[in-house]
Amino acid sequence: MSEEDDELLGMFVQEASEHLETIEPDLLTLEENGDDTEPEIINRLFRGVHSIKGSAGFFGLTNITKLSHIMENLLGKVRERTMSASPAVTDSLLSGLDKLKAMIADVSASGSVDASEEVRVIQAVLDGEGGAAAGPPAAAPAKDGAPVAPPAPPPEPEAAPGEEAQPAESAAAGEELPFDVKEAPAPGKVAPAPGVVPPKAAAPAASGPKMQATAPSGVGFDLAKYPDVVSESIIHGRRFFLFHLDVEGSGSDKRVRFNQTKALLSSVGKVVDTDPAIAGEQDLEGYSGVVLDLLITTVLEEDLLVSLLQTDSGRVQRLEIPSELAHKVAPPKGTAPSASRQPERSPEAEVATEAFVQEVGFKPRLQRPEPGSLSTVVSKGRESSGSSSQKGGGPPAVEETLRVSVSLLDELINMAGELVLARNQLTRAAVEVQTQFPHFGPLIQNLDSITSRIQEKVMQARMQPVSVVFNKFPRIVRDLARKLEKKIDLEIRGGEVDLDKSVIEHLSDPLTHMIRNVADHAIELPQERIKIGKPEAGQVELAAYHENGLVNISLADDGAGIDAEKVKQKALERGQITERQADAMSEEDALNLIFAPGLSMAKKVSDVSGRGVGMDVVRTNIEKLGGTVTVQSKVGKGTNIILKLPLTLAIIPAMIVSSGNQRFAIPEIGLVEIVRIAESDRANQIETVGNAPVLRLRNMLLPLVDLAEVLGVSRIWPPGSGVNDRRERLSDRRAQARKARDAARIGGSAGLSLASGPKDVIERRDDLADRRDPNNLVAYVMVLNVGGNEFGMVVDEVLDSEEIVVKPLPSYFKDNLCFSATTILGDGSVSLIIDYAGLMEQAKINFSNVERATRMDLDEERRAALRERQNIILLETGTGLIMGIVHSMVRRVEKISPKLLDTIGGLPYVRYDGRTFRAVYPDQVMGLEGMGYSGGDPEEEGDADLCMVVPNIPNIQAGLIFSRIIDTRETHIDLDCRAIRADGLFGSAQIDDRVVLFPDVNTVLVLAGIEMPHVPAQVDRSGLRALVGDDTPFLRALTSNYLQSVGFEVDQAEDGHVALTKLRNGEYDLLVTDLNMPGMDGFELAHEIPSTIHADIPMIATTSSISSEVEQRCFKAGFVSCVPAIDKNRLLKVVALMQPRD
Amino acid sequence: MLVSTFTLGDLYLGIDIVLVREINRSMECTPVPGSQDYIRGMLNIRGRVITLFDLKKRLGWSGNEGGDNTTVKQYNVIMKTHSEVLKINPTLAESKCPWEDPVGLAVDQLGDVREIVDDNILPPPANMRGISADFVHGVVEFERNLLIILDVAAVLGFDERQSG
Repeated sequence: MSEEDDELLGMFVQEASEHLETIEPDLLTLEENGDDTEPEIINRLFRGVHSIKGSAGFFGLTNITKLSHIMENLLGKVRERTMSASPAVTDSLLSGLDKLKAMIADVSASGSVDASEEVRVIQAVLDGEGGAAAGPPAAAPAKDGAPVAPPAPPPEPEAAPGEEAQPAESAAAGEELPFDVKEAPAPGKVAPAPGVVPPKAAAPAASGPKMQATAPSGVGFDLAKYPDVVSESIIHGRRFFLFHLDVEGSGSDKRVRFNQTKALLSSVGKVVDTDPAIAGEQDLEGYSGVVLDLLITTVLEEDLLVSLLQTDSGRVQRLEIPSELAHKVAPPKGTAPSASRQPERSPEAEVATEAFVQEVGFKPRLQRPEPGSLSTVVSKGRESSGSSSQKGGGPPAVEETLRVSVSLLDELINMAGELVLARNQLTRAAVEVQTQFPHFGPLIQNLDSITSRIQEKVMQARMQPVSVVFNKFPRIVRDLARKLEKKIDLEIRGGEVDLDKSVIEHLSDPLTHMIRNVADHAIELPQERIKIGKPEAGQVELAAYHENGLVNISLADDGAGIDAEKVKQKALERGQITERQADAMSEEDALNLIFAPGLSMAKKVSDVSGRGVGMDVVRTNIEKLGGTVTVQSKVGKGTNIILKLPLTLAIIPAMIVSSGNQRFAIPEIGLVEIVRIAESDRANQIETVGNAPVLRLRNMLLPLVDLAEVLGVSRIWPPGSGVNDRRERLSDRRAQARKARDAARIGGSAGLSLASGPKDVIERRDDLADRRDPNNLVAYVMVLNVGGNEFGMVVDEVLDSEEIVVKPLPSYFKDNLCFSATTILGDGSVSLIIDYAGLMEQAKINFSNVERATRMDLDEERRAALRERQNIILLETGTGLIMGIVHSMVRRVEKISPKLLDTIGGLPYVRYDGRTFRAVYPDQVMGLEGMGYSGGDPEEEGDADLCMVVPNIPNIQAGLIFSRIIDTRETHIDLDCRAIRADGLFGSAQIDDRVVLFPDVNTVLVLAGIEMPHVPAQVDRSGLRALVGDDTPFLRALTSNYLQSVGFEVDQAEDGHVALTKLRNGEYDLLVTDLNMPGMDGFELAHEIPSTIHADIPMIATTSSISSEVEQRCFKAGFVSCVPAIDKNRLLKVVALMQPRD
Repeated sequence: MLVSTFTLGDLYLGIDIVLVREINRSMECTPVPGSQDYIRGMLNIRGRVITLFDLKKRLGWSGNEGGDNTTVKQYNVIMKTHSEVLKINPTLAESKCPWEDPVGLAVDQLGDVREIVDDNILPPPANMRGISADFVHGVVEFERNLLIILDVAAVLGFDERQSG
């Protein structure tokens, strides 16, 4: 086969595949609507199959031709309404379609494919047509049930074998045809040529050997006699056919039949001549024969003509134009498609016919296609939705489209990206030039906007509607439903949503898996469904829609749902989780177990699904595309699986980070959060389990990978390389602590949530100066999620967030696991995109069950304390104990001279600022003096200044006395509540290898016998349950204490999410929540409350910075009140004012 | 054939000019951690990501051989890719240019473009210093200088080279 043919064959495959794509949904519609199907759909089916057949014939693909031919025949019957569109018909057609697909998918091997079974089945259906015939028109050809094989002889029972033609009867020879035939041949040319066998004689002869479709020319007519018609036909690519018109019956019947035929042909061709020649209608009525031979010229192919004339193929014969005749009558301009001589092998003619048929759709409204239209091949009929439930389905919207190779598009995208870079550089350069040339600015702006638009449009060019994938599901669902004996209605929405070609291509398999699962497991058997009051047919909805810049694909069913408990049980049986894990597991987590490899929920393995490979493959595939999978399910109600996919893989949002002086891009998909770690705090956060570094992050241990280490790049500021002045460092630290404090107030968390955006990230770069100090190194932990496992990647800096254009990794690095692709950054340099999974592999992190268990089985108490970094003031008591007080509990710290100390009535007081404060020695109050090293000499104490900490309690006239302030520190507090116990002590923690005690200031004051001002009316709330939400363990404990003091049973939550979960699952009478919490803050939490069973729960907000603005917001959000975080009185007052619900 | 020539230390090397896309002064490139040491990194040349091979390291030089030191500005010989060559000379593309991804070689100094009669190309002598015969397509004597014609495919690590 020549190269050219190869190319043509490729085109054929492409076109045929497109046809197959429309044929399938149309067949399903036909199956559903039966005989009510709109004619346009049947016509479209017919045309699709027909054009496949035609092209296949051109390439000599006999198997495809054969099969499509017989399918076409059957469709022809359906179209003529001579056969009803029964299930048998559609079934046979669908099976044929499958075989066609298979053959076209591998065209070269199609010759060896056995399609005889399909052909046989369709033939059988065709044969059985008698009973199914629905009001056959007069022309219904088959009077008997005999096989109507395509090359079947014309059934002419009346024609006695011996009966010879009666040419004599064509007495009118020489007369002009009276009919409306414009190109009527010249008189005298109608007489049958001598030696030509009249058709009636041919008929019996043909009943023996098969009649060739392309019979030798001149059967009945000699084309040479009609040079004008022939030359015109050649120009227009028409063909000649001999048609044996059945004119049995009375004279008027004959006339009607003849006129009918003429009318049918009027739009696509004409009757050139008849045999016997007929002069007028009287002539016809007087004709005694039962068959009238017509010479027809038409653009239609034989098969189409056959169906148009509502006859069978045996009655139509192709007449070839003899080549010498073709030459002789060649049109003057030489524009005749030479292919007309061999139209069967002419692609142009094929195309012409095809375009033509598409245009007129057999409606009697013939317009010759313009010659130019031959090249404008309609390439893609895009259907907005392939819904099987769609009724009718109009004709495919024909768009002017052009095939463009993907590589050309990619090049365009590449260059558009370059253009953007060039534009950026120009914009930068323009700043300087602009002062001299003021008109330069608008020019640049214009270029800027054009560039952006170009990039956008070029990206769009790669987009395809998801219906490309969706359209195959009606069929799959139908087949599955049959096989499983279920009834399933599939509704498809959003087929028009566009996705990048590369995403579309990889979507098919995961979606198929999911749909199979739904059909197999989710949808119950019809009788079961009826029993439980569901509609008999399972409702499945496949929808695509945009959300947050991503495309969501949701597959929802109203089936049995997934029982989280059973999933857990199964995972437990398979040893995928431990019992403890199972107990601690939320329903959501349990549902996510269905994505674990090897877990199948099918009770028994069917050939549809249940082998336990499926959902994990789905997740892997979707994650490869940079997407995520979530599942929601309610037992008995149904399941909804949502895929979130990026619009494109070509441009992705990424964080640019640096590690070891080199920049890398980290795709934002899969990036959970970024945690900033100061070196001085590392000891508190980064630990080692086994010999692997882990980060304690909230309630889990996160395995850590140092990017620089894994990649083998050298660090630029190795720890411990410099020794700085201690004092300087301390002040640095304080400055940093202040800064961090400010930041914490704004961001509410040291863990920088992604939502806060790149600006915050850039702000963090201010800290760079500090970081040069090796003891104050700051690193960032990128918390990444790979297949449900989280790990932390340590990088030096987080630089920026950018939309990056993904370029493939050169093959020279194909062994490299750590990088998935490359990109070009804004400054034009090349950067590598990190492949999380590969990095994990390279770093040999594995999330074995053991490690997962460690992560989950963290000591409950530690968990509570892990969460937040605190600003604490470290103070030393007179006895050398170190105590820590959370900054927010302190109103002020005063330096006092011991001279101001006085004893009144045996109790120490401080006169300060014109007022008298009760002096409280916390160590004494708590009975801890003995723990310190023997306190300093009293004399000494007398000399040195003391510190008085005035707690942040309104109207309190008391202060805690310490000997000095050691430091202020922002750190995690790993609070141990058990090692040291004392009244008024929260607990202890290790900071800088020293034990720090954390007193409960309120209790200490109470223990010291200080009367709290404005003690609220004592209320008893015992028996009620309160939920305290606060990310700060201290304040949480404090607020809880307050509430417990009036009888509440208190539950705690460390952030909004946890609180919400608890509210959803438990019974509470009061919610007291901090406003400022990471993840979900108090306002968001309040917003979510109405969706819980606690829609009307009273809510109190606590905050460290109260203002009228905050109070207003609280009010709007539905809080009863907003109180300062540590103000016991205000809180209890508010509580007292609330009437307990009965 | 026309050969683009350059030097590497005291080696006089040449590459069939049909395979050369362009030559640039060396520019900053992004190293790829974990890659072969003879791959210097990646460059962006007009939006194309080009992998740059350090030819000296590829030939196994430790660094000071050839009396040159690497701080001197080098040049990058950027090669055409298989599909680019295919448009010009399909035979050559099939036989000598199997690489699909854009690639460049870092060399020391640029030389002239030389016309070479194919018949004058000799098989590499056994005792060449500084370069393994595996990387040599052939040698041509030129003004008492030995011009070594590089087998770029071999340099880039494609072993299925055919005799051309």
